[in-house]
Amino acid sequence: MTDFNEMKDAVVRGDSEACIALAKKALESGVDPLKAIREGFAPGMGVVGKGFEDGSLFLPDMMLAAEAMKAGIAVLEKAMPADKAAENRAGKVVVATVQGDVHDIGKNILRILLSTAGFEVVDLGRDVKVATIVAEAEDEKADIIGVSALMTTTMMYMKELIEELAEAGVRKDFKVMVGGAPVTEDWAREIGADGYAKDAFAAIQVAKNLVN
Amino acid sequence: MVTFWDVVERTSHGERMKESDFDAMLYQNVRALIEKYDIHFDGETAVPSDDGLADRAYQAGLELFLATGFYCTSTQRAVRFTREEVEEAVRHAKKSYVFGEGRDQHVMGPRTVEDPNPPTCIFSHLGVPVKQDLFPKVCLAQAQEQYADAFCCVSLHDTFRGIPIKSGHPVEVAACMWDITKRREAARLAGRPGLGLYAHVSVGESTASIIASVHPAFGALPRDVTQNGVIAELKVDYERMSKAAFLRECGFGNASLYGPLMGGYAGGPEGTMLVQIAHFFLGLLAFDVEYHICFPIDIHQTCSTTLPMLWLISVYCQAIARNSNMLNICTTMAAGGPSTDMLFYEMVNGAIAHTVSGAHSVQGGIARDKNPEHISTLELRLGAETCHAVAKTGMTRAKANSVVKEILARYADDIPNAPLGKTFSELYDLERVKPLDFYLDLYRKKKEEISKLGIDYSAI
Repeated sequence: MTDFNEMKDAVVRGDSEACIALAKKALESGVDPLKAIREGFAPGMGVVGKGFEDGSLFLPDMMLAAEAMKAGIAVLEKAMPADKAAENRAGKVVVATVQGDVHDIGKNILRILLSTAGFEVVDLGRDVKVATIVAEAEDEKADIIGVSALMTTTMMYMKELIEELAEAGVRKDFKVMVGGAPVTEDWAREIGADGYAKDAFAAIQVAKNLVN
Repeated sequence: MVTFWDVVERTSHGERMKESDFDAMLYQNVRALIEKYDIHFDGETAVPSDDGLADRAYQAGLELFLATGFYCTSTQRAVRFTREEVEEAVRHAKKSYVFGEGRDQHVMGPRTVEDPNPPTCIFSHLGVPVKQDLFPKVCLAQAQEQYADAFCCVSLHDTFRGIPIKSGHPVEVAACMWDITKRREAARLAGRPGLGLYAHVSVGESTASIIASVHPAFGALPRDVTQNGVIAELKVDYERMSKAAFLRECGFGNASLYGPLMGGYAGGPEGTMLVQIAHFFLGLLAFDVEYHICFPIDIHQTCSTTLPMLWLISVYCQAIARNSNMLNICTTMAAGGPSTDMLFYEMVNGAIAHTVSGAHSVQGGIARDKNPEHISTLELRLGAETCHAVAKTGMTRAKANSVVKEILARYADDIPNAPLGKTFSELYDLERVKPLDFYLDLYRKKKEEISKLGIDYSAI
């Protein structure tokens, strides 16, 4: 019998092997894979996310938990028909730290939270040229482009990104979210971004609202 | 002794690893050392009076650096050193730094815990965006503050020659050259032509812009300083090492900048404190710096004035002061905005913690360092006055702890939704570049209030 609490605890511990084993056990027991994700693994990430927010857990704990959950979900998704797997996906997001900026902790936190919230995330890394972000978003057929910056001189590339999307005639194909230390809601509005969040947690709801 | 060029060579030969593995290794090492050295935040103390804790923290931070090294993202290698190499670098670390020149010159030397000599006080709003038209006035407002032993000012965020200022763009170079001329002009207009700059430009991230801006044609004084920021945590790249390669030979001021994130790769207050210490060794070896500027930040609150943050700041400062002569400048990163009670409280708390713990002090980030034109000087002035009063009256760490906690109780609950306060234009007579009367009244009122908590401003 599948114990969803065990699955939750395995995620909280960041135990990838246990998540894989429990995922296989769930399938063998005939548990609906989507149910196993939603009632087994996802609550674990919820615990870790809450712990990160209240300061009892830290970024490495979240990264381990996310990796463990990802490993377990990979097993379950193989057993799901494509339409069921898609049901589990909230959308596709391309994330990057903008050109000239090498600071990526915020972007990394966002990547983890988005993927555990059901988004498929393509992480382009840091110091990513605007043209590359546009090209990759088009190739990936992303729903959302999420960009971050830590400095006033690099946040200007967020504006350039939106201008370049418009120039390429694809502005309407993507929702653009912006964030990072120097970024404010006013700035996001000024440059025509679709979404802004003061931190990665708030960004999840913003992302969900944008795809809906 | 390990030289800068030895270190550069090691970036090509160190242990190859993925960056994510380096991050994971760092966290594991931090957790192990916290237990090994029995380093724990008790949840209550802001300014510990525990020499044993400070000394253990230093040893743990050193051992962390020995075990982890630093990571070069350009070569994807971890670079490590022997204990002998690191300790030798610490022994030979610069013991003083001279800001500015002439009558405005200021000498910054090493400090001890509970040092009766006031810290060097630096006024900075680096990170707060300001447009070109207001930039010179804000620079002047800071430069004319008499307690500023050096200054820095704000971050230029605008167009230059009609082009948005962007990192890596030719306009960045031009904006940097303009930036330094305006800061130097501000110092002159303030009647302090030799006042030192602690970060000589605000818009320069690329090496090209830094090198351009230190040319004497634009007014930079020989000992004005460039800050070379590391990548969190304990990482460098060739862009940063290139700046160091230039700075160490041109004689221009060379300092490094570390802002470990509490809650991030280093974990909680204990781990972040150890990582903060470890960065000092990185700065000496990878950048060959003369002094170190620290701004640890709470990853959630984006400030450094919460209780755990004040604790970690006090402990790391004590650790460095008790165990080395390295020059340590700590920055207050406040959540509150200009002309709010909260900002006055935060600046005072940061000043107290830095001063008794043996550091120098930047009266710095305001309103989370991101809100355009949210700049002030009177809160910074009170912070600097607090530094002087605390030192000159011989405040102990125990007394500092009780004062800091009492002040903390006046703003801690407001941190998540800190008041934004007013803009520079709302607080200053822009013609005369002087604080408006209501703002001065507020400053006097807060100073009076805080003096009743045990800070004797009459001593300065």
